[in-house]
Amino acid sequence: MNFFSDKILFIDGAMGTMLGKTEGLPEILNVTEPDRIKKIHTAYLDSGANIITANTFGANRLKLEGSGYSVEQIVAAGVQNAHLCVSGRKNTYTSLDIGPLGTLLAPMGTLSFDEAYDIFAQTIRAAGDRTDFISVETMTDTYELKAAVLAAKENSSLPVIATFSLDENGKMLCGADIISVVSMLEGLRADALGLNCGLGPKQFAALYGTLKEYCSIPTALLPNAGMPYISGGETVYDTAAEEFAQYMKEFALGGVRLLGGCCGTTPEHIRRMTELCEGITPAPVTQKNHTVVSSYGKSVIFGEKPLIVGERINPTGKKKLKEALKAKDIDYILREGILQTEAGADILDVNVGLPEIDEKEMMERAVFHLQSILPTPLQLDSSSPAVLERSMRIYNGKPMINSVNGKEESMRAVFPLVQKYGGVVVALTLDESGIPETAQGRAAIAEKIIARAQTYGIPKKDIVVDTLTLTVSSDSEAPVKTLDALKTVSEKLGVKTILGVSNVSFGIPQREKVNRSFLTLALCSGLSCAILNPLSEDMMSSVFAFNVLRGYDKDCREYVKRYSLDESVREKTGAEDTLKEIIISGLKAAAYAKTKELLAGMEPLEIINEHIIPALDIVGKGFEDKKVFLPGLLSSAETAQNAFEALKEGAAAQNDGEKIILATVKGDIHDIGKNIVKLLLANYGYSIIDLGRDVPPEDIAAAAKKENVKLVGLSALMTTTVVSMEETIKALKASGHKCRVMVGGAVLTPEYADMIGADFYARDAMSAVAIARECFDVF
Amino acid sequence: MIPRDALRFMGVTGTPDKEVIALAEEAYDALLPQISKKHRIIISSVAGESLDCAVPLLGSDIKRHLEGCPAAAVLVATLGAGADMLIRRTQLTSMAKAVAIDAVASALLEEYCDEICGSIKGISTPRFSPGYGDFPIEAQPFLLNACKAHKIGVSCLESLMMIPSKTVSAILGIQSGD
Repeated sequence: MNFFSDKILFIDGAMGTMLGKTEGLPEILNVTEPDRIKKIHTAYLDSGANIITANTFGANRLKLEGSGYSVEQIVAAGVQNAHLCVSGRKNTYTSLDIGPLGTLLAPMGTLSFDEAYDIFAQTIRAAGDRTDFISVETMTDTYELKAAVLAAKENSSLPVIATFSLDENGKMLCGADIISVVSMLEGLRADALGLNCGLGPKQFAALYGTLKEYCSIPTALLPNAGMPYISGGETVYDTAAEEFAQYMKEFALGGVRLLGGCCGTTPEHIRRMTELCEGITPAPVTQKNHTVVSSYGKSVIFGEKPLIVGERINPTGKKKLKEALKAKDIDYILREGILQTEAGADILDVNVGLPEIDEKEMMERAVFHLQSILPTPLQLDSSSPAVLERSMRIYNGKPMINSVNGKEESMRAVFPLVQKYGGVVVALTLDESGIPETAQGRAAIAEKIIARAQTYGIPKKDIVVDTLTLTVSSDSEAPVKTLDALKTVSEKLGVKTILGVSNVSFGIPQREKVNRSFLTLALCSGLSCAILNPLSEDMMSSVFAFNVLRGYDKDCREYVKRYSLDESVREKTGAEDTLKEIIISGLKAAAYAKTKELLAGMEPLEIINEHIIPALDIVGKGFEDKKVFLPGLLSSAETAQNAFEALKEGAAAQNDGEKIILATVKGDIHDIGKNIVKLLLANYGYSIIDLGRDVPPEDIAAAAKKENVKLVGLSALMTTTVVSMEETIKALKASGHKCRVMVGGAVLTPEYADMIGADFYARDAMSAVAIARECFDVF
Repeated sequence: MIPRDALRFMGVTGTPDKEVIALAEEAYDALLPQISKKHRIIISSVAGESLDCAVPLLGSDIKRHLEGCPAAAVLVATLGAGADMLIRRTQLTSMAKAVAIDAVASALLEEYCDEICGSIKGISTPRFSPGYGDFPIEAQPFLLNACKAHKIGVSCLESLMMIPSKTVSAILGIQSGD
């Protein structure tokens, strides 16, 4: 039962505006000048506010560090002050106020999701449920918003009001659109959600329509008193109380349940608002039926047009991916993600289930990194509830989950996770008795799953049914059964559907021919979403053609864009050139084929020594002589990479080049320079262990010792982080492991490198190669 | 179309060949949809050792820079987090393109700052940022706080590096009273 579902409540206005300039943090006044705070609370209560938010917006350990006060002190005082003010008044409530931490979470910044959660949890526990609600507000990043709301839900039993801030384009600073945030917040079981700060009521009015269209829980709006401008050196807001109140009245009539004000608002604004809204009956909160998944910033809505889930990140039957997982080669997974997204995948399935590896750890890494480079929502795929749990917890947005089925054990394990974290879950129509023979049988299981989900508060719109594709070669009726079940489930149960089609052709030749037709049949039977390989032209062309024929592709625009031949782009093919020339010219596309050609008559080592290395040396010298510039150097390096790809496929896995560790030091997050060096060194046959960025000295020392690495390359960009370089070198010496260190980065000089105890100073990317060669010749 | 300094930031000196120009244009096309330009600027009186908005003028170079200026503007401008994500992603498929995007982004940022500075009356000096001369990087948080940079999603790490990475913070002198 939602607390806010049958009331309209008024929230207070700005605290900061009323306090004016303060010495130090305004939250400290809770202890030093409680009367000043209580006076403001009282003014708002007298103006008709039902809810006052405690003065705890920045009362977290990050902001209070060095203030001389603890989180517990400030929060206790803030809650107490608010409590005293509402005491004796009817229909009044207090709310703990949680604002942003003032720094960005990883991967943009260095604060991890777990740390951010912890910081919010501390503030929430300090309040000990002594307020009536918790208000999470002014959030501009979905990940931070998730950490705060989750912390509230797991550390208190109070209703949570979550409001976020948008810019004039209707986006959060992190890039999220309204639909993404609404889906995520509903999944996290916020009790009310809406917008606060950033904009005035006029701008909110333009954005509210979308919010209302997608939101199935009570909404809250707390605009600023208009937009700010400078007058006489002071910041002034352009919407006075009367105009403000008029807008808020319209919002109340339009269904908003929690109304208040943010920056620039005063008791006068609140008073006028409560006066004008007197007697308005709350409009019912209606269930919206959109099926939505989201990432940090992108929402994908299940509409009429079929969605494509990219299936490539799944080790079953994929030798290269298995090798990459065992070698912890995250870059390989990320490239698969990028390729599939560029090929048209709407959602990416992520499955890293391999018995030889720690699935939970790898899944966390894969999800964290994928969501740091792509806006594509993910489908978290695992048969282990523990793996699902961790990945759902750290997922930024509302994920798709693969999967739940009709077995008791499965529903009991998976539904609580979806209830807590939110998500759209794939439901397989099988149970303890196996996979039903008939369409009716499968539809019955779907019904059972949907009904059970309801008991967890999971609505039908968040279930996507998979009627299971079985192999036609073992049962010729199999495809018909699947499609009939699909139709039944889609039409009678009104639920979204999904299928992985490639199973159908297992065991028969030229599988793609059958797969593509089965896909088309399934789409015609109402399939909402297909799991397939977006790099397969057979599969993608079927989808594009279907969209044209069904009228989803207006004016055939997408189809024509994909398939019209573009005569204007003719890349120099390089077919006549030698591999050496191809690398020097940076003709990336030609290198792979040319290398395969050469392999017919030459040994890999010959090709490397006669073509690849000489080409790289020529380009490297050109770079040093300032005839070739960085882009050219890198194009050639990448062309050489393609040549190496071709060589690697022929030979057995040879990762036996000398090992080199590369890392950007602690506190520093710039890594382009390091990545350039990585590319060049890899070309010269070295085996690179890339520890990433913001790496603590101890981790680098431990890795060097463990992998017996003789050369460590450190990168830092700032005078402040160069200190970490020195610490890292000290840690390496202290570990007792014998190795040499090269350092690079714009801020370094040979003198400084010397001073901190580095063995080599790398002036630029090519110098790192020269150093490596020198280093390993000597060793 | 590609900003003036882009090729220079890509490390290209002398006459660029057509491949490099094509790369810069590709980078520009990829970058544009990912950019969300935002800035904050405040005008403050110069009061000897600091600005009125609690920005300390540490070292002698910044004071010399503001000599004769009764007031100063503190500026923070950013291209947003989208540029960083694009650069991260592109590094996985093409370092050459990633370097180009990084360079074009820096050049666009400079152009954006030039635009902003050009629109303020009375600006009489170039931009002077923490880290220039003997104006220490430690001044960074003061500039960001003065501008309330968090409102445009800009903050700085413990290392005083600003995030998102395509961000500029600077002080400019103002001659005439405004």
